[in-house]
Amino acid sequence: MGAPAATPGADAADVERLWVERARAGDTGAFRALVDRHRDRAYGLALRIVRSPGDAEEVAQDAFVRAWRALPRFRGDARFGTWLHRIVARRAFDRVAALRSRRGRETSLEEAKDLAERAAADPAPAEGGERPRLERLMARLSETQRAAVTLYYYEDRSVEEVARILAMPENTVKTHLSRARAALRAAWPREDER
Amino acid sequence: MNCTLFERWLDEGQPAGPEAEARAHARSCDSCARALAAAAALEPLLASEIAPAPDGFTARVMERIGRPPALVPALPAAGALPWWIRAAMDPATVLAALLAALLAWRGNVLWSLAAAGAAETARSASQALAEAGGTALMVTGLGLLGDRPVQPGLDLGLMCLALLAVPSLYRGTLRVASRASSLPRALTRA
Repeated sequence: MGAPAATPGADAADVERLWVERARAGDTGAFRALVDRHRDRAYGLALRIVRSPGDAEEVAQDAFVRAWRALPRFRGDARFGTWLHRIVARRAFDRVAALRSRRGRETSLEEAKDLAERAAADPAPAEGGERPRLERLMARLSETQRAAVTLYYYEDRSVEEVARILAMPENTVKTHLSRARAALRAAWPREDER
Repeated sequence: MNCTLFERWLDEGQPAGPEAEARAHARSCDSCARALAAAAALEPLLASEIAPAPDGFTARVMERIGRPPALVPALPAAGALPWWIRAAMDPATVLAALLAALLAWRGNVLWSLAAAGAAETARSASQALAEAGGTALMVTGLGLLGDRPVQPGLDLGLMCLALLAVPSLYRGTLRVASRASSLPRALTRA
């Protein structure tokens, strides 16, 4: 079944609402359209939190599967993306906690290197070698700080939305953002001098 | 503005209010100028794409939603749990804890209830035997059951019976627990 065609004049939010309605009724074509629209951002958020491409894909896929099963209970008060990102973040935090308890450490150097190499291999001429450097710096932050930074900058969410997605008070989000900015900024010139 | 306030302004995401004052400070302070340059370099990078989802991502999600949900136990395998959780989950520990809690909470009441129950049983048995035409000796003997000197012995016997019942209760609980844990595996196999 293909994705439902958008009505002429309908904006992206209306189209998405239509897809959500149809997916709730069991239309897998509409859900496929939702996956296509949100997969990169869901995967990006998971990758930033768990720092491993394999785990990130598992987390993002799991989040979509859970979203599909929970769609009948989705009331539509929030946007689908906000709801999905909340699931992704929760699954990613769970995965990080499981990995941490298994290995007894937060992140693996091999994974950070792998991610940096992946980012370097990705064609982004305008950003040159800065992206791998950013990923190395991001690995120094806690997973909650990485999630807050990713949602705020990459997802372009407001502090209020980030707080809703991460299920924490707005002031806590502000503190995470503030500490993350300070840590990244402090490390940036030192990395530059190497 | 001083360097501390400038740092705070950067940490807060460069709010518009004190921006002119902060930038003026950065022009006169080398370290703050470097911090501002770092923030200016970082923020567009943070907003840039992280990494696209791997090829075939959507197909794999669609394949997974087509599958029936796997019935797996909510708890991890018992071997993966710490010893103290496994010990706490043991039916015998639960029973022992329940008994201990009951005794600690209402020990006196339980004892009085047991004593009253024993006395009542003895009285009924004696009466029933007397009515059935038992020998005078038996009636006399059983009549003593309700008497004060015989009471502690009877209570002790009932306590022993209760203690003997605990292993049976334990084995029954184990059987129920093992059936409950094998059910999801059986359903998954089916």
